[in-house]
Amino acid sequence: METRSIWSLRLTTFMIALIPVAVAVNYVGKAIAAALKLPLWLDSIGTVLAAMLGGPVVGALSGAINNIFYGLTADPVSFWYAITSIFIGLAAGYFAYTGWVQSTGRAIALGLVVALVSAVVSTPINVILWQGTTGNAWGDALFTALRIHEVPVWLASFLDEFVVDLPDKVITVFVAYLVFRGLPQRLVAQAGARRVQGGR
Amino acid sequence: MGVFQYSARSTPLHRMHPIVKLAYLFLTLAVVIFPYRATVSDLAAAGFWALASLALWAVARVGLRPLGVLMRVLAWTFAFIIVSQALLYEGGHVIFSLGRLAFFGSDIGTVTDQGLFWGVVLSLRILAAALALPLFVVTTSPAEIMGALGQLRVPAKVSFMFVSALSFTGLVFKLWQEILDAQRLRGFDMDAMNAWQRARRAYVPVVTPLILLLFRKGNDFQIAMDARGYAYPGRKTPLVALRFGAQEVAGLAAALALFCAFLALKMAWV
Repeated sequence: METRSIWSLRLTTFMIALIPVAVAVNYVGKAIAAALKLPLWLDSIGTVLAAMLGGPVVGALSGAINNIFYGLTADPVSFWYAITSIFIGLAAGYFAYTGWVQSTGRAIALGLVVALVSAVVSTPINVILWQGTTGNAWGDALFTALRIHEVPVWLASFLDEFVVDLPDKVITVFVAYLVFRGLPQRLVAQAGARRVQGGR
Repeated sequence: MGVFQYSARSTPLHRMHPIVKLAYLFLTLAVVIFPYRATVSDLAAAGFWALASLALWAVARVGLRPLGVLMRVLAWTFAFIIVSQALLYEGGHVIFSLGRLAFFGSDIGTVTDQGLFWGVVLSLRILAAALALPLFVVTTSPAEIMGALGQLRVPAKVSFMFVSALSFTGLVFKLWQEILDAQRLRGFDMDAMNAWQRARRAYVPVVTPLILLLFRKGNDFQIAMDARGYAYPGRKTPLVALRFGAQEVAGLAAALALFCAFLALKMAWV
């Protein structure tokens, strides 16, 4: 069987077909978060799932296409966060391929890593575009409190983002992990059977 | 949450080369990424771009319904931005006071004119983007998007994924409704539940089959691609031949003129 690098840009038809599915799953997550008025986004479940199945390149592509697509069709603010989604896909894909989706505990740890990556990448975007706020009521309340106490805008903005990203990404990765475990073995094997048997 | 989809019409905007529309889209991104301040010039500049995009909506004749959906989504964002800025902005004259509202040792109970003004500027900035960005998808067919991205040397696989994502998201609505109908026949009526019941037990019986069905559709999609020889390594030809003529040059010039007008407005007053 041919060995394929996880950073390979050569996309199979399976991977090409996976990305629209990932975008649609992201859409479902976002719609449910909006319907339940949750203080979370849940719009990366498909991206993380695609990364778990197809690796970091597929995850990054899925994240980028997802946010450009959202930006053009549903939520213009999403457009600028394509960079964040690319990094979420890269991080989730890399760690998934190195064995971080073998157990529930590891999947939650992966959620923490993805939350950190997401907050670090989103902070400059928030500072440049929205003076540091995220548009999330809970995070922005913390931001205001920190700014009142003269905490630097970059740190306040990072904490504003992280306080939302932490539950959001842990739940996102955990849901993606549950779906991943529930997918038919044939489908997972088609993506790359090595992961299921213990990673690289 | 609404999704904008292609609406087939024969208007100047629909006939325009997609690259011109993409140029307008990137100019919009530049408009939004510019640093803004609480000044009349910035308010006028953001308002100008929003009005220009609104005029393009009228030219595109895609109806008011998608615009209404967009406004409903954005209304909450605008309300949040304006209220939070009005209360939290430091500086300006006090318009009225809600009494002392302690927040981590500070009083945030006063609404200032500058805060209110800054909230409106930020909202207009988002509105300028929100009105301009969907125009591309609403007035450009998937085949034209593929053709235009190909001319821009975007890899065929990437543009194909983008166009496929467009059709898959439309599919989510269809599948969602079919699952709801099927569950209703089994006596599981989600519409009859209150918000708490929905949150607690309504989504799992709907979302689980939805995700599985999406993967099945993805599998069918892959088989269809393989059956049609998608993986064949030869050069792919576009379905629609796009030409860049005088109308496109005029369109590009008009977009650049709008951008220059935006810049002039932004620098007109302090």
